[in-house]
Amino acid sequence: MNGILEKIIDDHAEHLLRLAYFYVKDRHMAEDIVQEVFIKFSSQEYEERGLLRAYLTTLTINKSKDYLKTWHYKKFILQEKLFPVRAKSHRDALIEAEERSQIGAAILKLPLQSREAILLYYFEEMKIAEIASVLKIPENTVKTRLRRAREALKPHLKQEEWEVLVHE
Amino acid sequence: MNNVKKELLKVAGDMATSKERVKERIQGQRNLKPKKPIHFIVMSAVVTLCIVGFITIQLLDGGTKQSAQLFNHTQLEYFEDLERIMWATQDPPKEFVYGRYEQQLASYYFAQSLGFDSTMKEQEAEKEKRYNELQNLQEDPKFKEIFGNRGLDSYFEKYVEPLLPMYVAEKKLNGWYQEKYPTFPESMVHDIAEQDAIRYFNTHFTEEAKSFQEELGLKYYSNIPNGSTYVGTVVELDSNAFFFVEGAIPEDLERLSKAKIIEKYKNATWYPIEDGALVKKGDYVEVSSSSSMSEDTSKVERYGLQQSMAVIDPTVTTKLKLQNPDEVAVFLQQVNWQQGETSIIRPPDYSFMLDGVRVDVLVTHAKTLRLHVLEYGDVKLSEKSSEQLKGLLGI
Repeated sequence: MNGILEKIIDDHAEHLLRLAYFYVKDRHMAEDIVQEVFIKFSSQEYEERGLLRAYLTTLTINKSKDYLKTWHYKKFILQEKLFPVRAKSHRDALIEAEERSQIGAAILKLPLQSREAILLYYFEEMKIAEIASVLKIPENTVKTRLRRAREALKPHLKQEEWEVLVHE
Repeated sequence: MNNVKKELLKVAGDMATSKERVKERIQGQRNLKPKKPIHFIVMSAVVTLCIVGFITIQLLDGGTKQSAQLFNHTQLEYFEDLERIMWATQDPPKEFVYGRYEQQLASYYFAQSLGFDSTMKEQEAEKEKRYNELQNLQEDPKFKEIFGNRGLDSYFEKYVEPLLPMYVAEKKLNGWYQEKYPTFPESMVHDIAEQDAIRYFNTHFTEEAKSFQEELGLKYYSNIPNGSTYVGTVVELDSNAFFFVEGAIPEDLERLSKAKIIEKYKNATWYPIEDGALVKKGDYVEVSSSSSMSEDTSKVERYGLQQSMAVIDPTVTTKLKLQNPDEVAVFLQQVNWQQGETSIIRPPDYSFMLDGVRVDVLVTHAKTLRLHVLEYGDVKLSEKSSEQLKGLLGI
């Protein structure tokens, strides 16, 4: 591994791992996704113009969403519904997540479109226009998704937690 | 930092270990020597086997164009309904619907090609089973909505009955794969069967699939997932599967039992041996795998789905012969070992024997050294200590 790539991994890997985790909700898969992102990145001729983080973030978002579209993932979800015993370890992980943060766990439970809007707005701290650009959707759609996501979170949160969310 | 971000950071937890794993895997891949690819004759063997079945299908079609037979919109509507139920959304993404439909077709044509057909009696039994299932579900609001005014009987006749030969053939295909991989969990066996089916389908019907996707306004969609790459050693062989331990090196087999190797490296997976693949115990291999699962989460052993496998150069670890064992021993006694369970996910760069104990040496990204001794522990050396040991080892 050359020193530049190593430095880039050091600087960005943990952030990208979290982002991938928020999409796929599986640490093992998040590692695989981020590994592929860096391998793809290292095989391309990237010209640094101060946009590296945004570039890696976009790669990670796309890879994560590719994974969510795979047949394997869909079957995994189906199997969780059909074979609750097999899903035990996954549930245990979600319980652990809830113990760490109620708000965070509630966000993880949102459907993808709503979760993604929350992630990009709060976690990536993107502006509405940036989110619209990354997701290739109109700004109004982004606003609608954010509003719906906040509404969906309301029943899961205490009043003070809800207020934290809407005021940021 | 906003409060929501703080909460999200909490819920994700510490990612430092994951980062190290990603780094080590990337480094491991970049350090690999040139590959000696196994010449898979998997698909060619399957294709050869399938030609007879395929020609039969063509003949039975009475000269009708295959593309016209393969896909139809009524069947697609049914799979759209299934996706709608599964995802609880009014508008499931088209590629999901298509993917599910394509998988069903692929399993059917692959099964046909292997000679798995269905009799009227089998179809009747399948019909009864599926009808009863839907009957039990018809009061469920989601199903009620899908059956609509036409009711269950009419829905079943239009959508499910025409698919009965597919369901029977798929069931037989899965049964055959279960016999082929008897030790694998059932759901993983289905994954393997489906992957082989999709490969068969892609070999024979790519153009038809592409034109149907275009008709639906989809970009080219592939049901074959990209896998992640793992490097390690084949530790055991079964009749149709090989047991792979990530990070293990062939020399481990000379000194360690299977259980000890698993204990040392942790990531151990059974993969199916594809037809015609040449693999033997002790091979150092690179496996591309998109998924793995464990039936018992308390066990390290997993079962995986592989997209490809290649034997690679086993001389990745340099074995050192110590010229000054006493000095090295003194050095090792002085460093601060972290005792307890640790794991290695890539082969060590060097290893040496000292008083009958094997010490593995990994060079980190920062060019410092990490030492690992089985059943004892490991230690990450500082830059200064690393240079000192490098000098003692002559590396």
